[in-house]
Amino acid sequence: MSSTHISDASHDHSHAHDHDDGHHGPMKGWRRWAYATNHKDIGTMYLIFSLAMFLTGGLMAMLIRAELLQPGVQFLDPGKFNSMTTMHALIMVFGAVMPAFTGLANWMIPMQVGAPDMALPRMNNLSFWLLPFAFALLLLTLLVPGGGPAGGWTLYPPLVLQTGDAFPMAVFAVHLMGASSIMGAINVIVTIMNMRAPGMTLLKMPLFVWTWLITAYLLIAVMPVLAGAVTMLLTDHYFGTTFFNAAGGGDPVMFQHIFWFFGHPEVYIMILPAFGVVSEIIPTFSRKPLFGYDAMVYATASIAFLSFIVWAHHMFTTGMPLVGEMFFMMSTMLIAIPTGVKVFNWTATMWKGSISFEPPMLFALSFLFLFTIGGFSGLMLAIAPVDFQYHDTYFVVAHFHYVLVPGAIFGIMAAVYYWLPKWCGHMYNMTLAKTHFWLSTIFVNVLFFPQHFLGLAGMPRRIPDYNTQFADWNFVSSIGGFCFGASQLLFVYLIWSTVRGGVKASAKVWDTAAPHGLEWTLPSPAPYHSFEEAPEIK
Amino acid sequence: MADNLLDTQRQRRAKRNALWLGLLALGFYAAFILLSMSRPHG
Repeated sequence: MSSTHISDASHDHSHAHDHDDGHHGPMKGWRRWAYATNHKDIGTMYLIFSLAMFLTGGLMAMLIRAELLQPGVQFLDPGKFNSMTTMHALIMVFGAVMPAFTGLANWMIPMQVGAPDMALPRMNNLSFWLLPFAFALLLLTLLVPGGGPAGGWTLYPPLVLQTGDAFPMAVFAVHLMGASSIMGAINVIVTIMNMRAPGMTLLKMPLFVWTWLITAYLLIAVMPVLAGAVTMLLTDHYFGTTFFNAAGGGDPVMFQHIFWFFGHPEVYIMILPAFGVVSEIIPTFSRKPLFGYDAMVYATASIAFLSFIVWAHHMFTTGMPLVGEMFFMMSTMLIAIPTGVKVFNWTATMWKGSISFEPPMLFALSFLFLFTIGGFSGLMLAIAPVDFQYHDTYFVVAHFHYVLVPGAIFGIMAAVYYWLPKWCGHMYNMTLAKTHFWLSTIFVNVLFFPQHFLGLAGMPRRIPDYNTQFADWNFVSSIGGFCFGASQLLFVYLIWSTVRGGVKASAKVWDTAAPHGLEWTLPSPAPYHSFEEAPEIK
Repeated sequence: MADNLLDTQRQRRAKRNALWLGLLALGFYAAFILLSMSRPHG
């Protein structure tokens, strides 16, 4: 049945090809990538870039865990250690996770809404090509006098103002990343709002498109705030302003408010598209429609709204008025409601479904369990009086790594395993992919779960040395880290070998499951221009 | 052609929308710096 369906789709496409004089293939050589305006080419560049940054940031994580393998300063002095944690965070957040989701958006949104390409292809090219320059600049800070930025990814003054020559480079890099993200977000919004196929109303859009639409609005609202904050740091450092300097009438705590007004929505920017991916995968491999589609959309929008009114839960120990602590504690706890709706709906989708455990589904399920652990520890941290003990300990490190690694990054891996055969036309080696899944899932827990214990026992963040009482769990965590890092090489090999060749994938790819959505009506690999004739949605 | 997704009317609308969103982003940038300047000192 599915093969008839596939040949229809291919036929339709070749028919469109015959009649369209504007149709052309990719340019040859380096020009294809430098002048790219095709959403798939740009999506591919984003994904390759993010993988490179994931490996670079991962290497830094290995250095951090090697330093923490045993007590005492091993090979990174405190300055270099802090530089590694700062760079690791900046690279993973802005270089790995965000570009990976933008890559997925580039590949999938036009295909899922029935459009030929993104609405603004040349701006798309610019938003990608800013990134390599931004990260080259950021990485080069490691070589300048005074070393790289070491004040943490939160860039709090006055500490960050002690950075040497790297400071303006890091600020400019953040501006470039911000400009790239804003342009990417604008492109996503105008594509979704203007390029949908006839009949595709907002509430008929796939969940991945919905979550990205909401994410894009978040990006437009908060990336300029980060840009404003770092601009003020720059003028404080070089132009004699005192925005954050108490001696001149400023206030360093104000920076924290501004930073976290950006920083908390940023957390949701990194997780909402993963929610979208999981909402695509679970129905496919449960062979049932998504339970509570409308509720999922409203829950996503509620999470996005609430993300703007919780920022000061990162600052409970700065000495804000009690009423402020109460407000931010309560508003933070409210987020558990729409998030609970989502977890409930994913579970209800699987209920009485005919479930199979292909690699995308395995990663989606792992996401469901482990992200929820991160959510629960987040609730613990939201309790203001308790946070006074947890603040700046390894408990916080464990919490946000559970949200970001088996959350955001597993979401990205699930998406790659789900759509890779559609992108390159080849099916990957299932056994190897499942091996990658099990190694990742086991070792991510060995890596991060003991950090809860370390934090509760009082081990502080961002310190290269520690009391011997923390030695055992740090050893376990580091071993978990090395094994998790090594398992990702399998992921790289798998992608490389699948792109190069392998068993041909059908148009539907997951023939035995129940994939839904317009992308599966296109042949595999997807044609260079997705939909030249708009499909009709009923 | 009404259902041609590359038609110029759609492109123009997309560009106009993009411009407004860009201005909105610039507005947020300026607003946060101005608000930080105007906070009461003391």
